[in-house]
Amino acid sequence: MEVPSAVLRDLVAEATGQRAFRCYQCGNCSAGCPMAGKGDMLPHLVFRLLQLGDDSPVRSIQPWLCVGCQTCAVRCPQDLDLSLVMDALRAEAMRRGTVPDEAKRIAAFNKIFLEQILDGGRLSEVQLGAIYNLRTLAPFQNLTSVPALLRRGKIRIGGKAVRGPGAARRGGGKP
Amino acid sequence: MSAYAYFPGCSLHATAREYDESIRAVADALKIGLNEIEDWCCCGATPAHALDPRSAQILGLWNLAHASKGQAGPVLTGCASCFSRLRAVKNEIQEREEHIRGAREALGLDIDPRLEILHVAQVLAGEEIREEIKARLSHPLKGLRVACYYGCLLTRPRGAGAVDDVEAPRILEDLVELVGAEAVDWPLRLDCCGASMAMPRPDLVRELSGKILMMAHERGAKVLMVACPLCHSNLDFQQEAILRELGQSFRIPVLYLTQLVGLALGIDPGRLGLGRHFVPVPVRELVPAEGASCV
Repeated sequence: MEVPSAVLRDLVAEATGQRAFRCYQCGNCSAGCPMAGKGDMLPHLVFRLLQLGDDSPVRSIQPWLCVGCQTCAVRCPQDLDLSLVMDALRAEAMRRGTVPDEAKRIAAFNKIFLEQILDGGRLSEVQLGAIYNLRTLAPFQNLTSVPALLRRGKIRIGGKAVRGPGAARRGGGKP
Repeated sequence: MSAYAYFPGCSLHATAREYDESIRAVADALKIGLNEIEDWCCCGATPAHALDPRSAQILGLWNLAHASKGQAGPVLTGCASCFSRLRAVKNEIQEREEHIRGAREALGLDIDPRLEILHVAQVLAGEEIREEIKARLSHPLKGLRVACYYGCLLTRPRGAGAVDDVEAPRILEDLVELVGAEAVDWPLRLDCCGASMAMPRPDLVRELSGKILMMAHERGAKVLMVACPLCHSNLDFQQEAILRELGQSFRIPVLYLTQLVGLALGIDPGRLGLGRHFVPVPVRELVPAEGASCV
């Protein structure tokens, strides 16, 4: 069942404090966005659609392309932070199961990254790459760079084990 | 001089090991005390807040709590992403407390509200440190044309604790000029390199980082100077593939700010990790042979 569309705007405002109605469509965010034109929705259109009660941003690839550089946020004359809105839209897309197919790899990457640090505390870039390869069914991608990284001492094996906050919370203990 | 609670972050323990080495070497030379925060964890970088903003808050709060313990001093980090994330969470506590209250209560750890979070660029820009650098400048990098690349997160979020102006920063150029080199005027210094898209969408990273490399080269820079391990990875590790694809024969060494300062202070290139780069760093061409004009 589709959630009533007006809710999306309110959900976003609730989660981020960013009120879509403040936007007057100057387009500054789209002018500076490194990912503008690389997806299906110019950044300022996201605010417009939220204003109109349109749900399509939650099904769009655009939030998934956002790298969080915050160029939009520092240039917004209305002091809105669109990068926070993009975060909320991705989280909502995960909840509703509306992640577009082209974004599945990005979602998988984010998920593996987060799982690893919540449990392991610190990120191992190599482990991240290996798990990502397995889950995206491309076990050999980027493999050729491993020897070069090893030669330069850029792969550290057996670093200090730290309990991540995820593990700590499950154990109920304090650090 | 002063002491800091050092937050290296995950990259500086692995792919950006030379950044960690050069931060430690320069701190040593300038008598800056670094006490690595015990049990720090990943800041969450982009993927955490991209997927689950609440987890990103938890990670940030965890680190601020660990940094608060033992009053080791202000937090010093070299990673622009760690810096930005720690500041974002701290600013959230101060400015949008109602949005982070839930995560704080869930974690239940004490955080010193006065805890300062500094990027190494800010520490090197301190007045006393600048004097110390000037006094120890054994190899001024005369005539070296450097393109300072801020990337996106070093200057963000805007607001409390920012390194400099969000749109027109000068902090890296000032540092380059302090060590005798020349800061190139170029337009893409604040543009994003593609950051964490390196794995899921390498095509986007190649496009964005390619523009940056081309522009720095066109403006006559001999070196790109960065202050972020992910920028370094995209511009150094990926450079060969990017420029080959663009049919370009030039290659441009990418140095961390602490590596450049370290060279000017006469620190051994090995201690600065300069041999770990993918694009070779021609140290003899960068540092004047008859460098010892001061001291």
